[in-house]
Amino acid sequence: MPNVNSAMTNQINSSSFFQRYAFWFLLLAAALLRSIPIISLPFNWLESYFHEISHGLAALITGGSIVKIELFPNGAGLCTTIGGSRFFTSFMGYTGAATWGAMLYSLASINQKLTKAVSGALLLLLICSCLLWVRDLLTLVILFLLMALLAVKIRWWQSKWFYYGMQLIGLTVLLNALFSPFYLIDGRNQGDGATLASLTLMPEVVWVAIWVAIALALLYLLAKKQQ
Amino acid sequence: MQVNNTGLSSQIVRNQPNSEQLNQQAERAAEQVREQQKQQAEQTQRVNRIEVDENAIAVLERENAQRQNSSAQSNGSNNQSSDSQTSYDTPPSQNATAIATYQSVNNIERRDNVQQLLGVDVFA
Repeated sequence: MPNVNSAMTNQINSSSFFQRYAFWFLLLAAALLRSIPIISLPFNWLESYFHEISHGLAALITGGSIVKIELFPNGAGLCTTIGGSRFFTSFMGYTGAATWGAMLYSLASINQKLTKAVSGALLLLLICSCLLWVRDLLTLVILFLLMALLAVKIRWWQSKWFYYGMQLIGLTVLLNALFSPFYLIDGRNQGDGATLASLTLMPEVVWVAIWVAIALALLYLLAKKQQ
Repeated sequence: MQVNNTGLSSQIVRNQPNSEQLNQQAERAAEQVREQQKQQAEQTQRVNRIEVDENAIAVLERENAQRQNSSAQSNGSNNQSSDSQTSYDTPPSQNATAIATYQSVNNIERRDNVQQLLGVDVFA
């Protein structure tokens, strides 16, 4: 009996140790996932989708409309809009992706049912995007793959690993949103940073710094919440 | 027995060439002779056009011999030589990058033009 008790206490201790430092473990796992070439692709696509849909939603909020959303296999994406605030729409790309990542992690941390609801809502958003704004086959295939990923997760929503999976997705999206702005510093004056620089006369580097600061702040908030 | 000479005489008259016909025949013969002379002259010109330069032939033969020697020497490394020949035509990577950059700039300008035309904004 003492052996059984000690084994149980060890198990409880180890699970509590994991739960206590779950954020850091998941952050490490997310960082590793990002560095694995093929496995990181779906997460890149997801981050790219959140980036583009954030542009689109910002355009919708400010009175514009979305013409189309395109995703590319290398993780790049394009969102074509008409009308709305160019400043807000440009700014919300990286900000929105980081916010989506943090929101996914936070909502998945509350309870499993809410995590399932969030996954369902995300699936619905993907379906709406496919129906309304996707115009090419490649983007459709990428979004279908993302939908399949979410559907699989929803199918096994009662598993205890389900919400860890959603948290991992949230952190991976957040990490991608943290590092993606650095690709803008290439001296080519392309992308959201260049658009904002032309609109505000503030250099592109400043905007990159702002986006990185926002992502870092969100990461800090999540870490603090975990403690 | 009466022999009617009129028919025979008329036949003789018909068979005998008059002066015009003689002239025509002479002209035709002269033309044929001229044509033959022309053809002969052309043939001689054709023969003269092919100028055989023995020095040039010698140079060509030397080059062929050198090629054969070099191919025999590089028989073991045929793939390498063919690769080098094919890679000879490919532009260097720096040029390829420059072309890609130039084309991307061109695409940006075109995209801006389309944006201005249609009033759409493209966010990457």
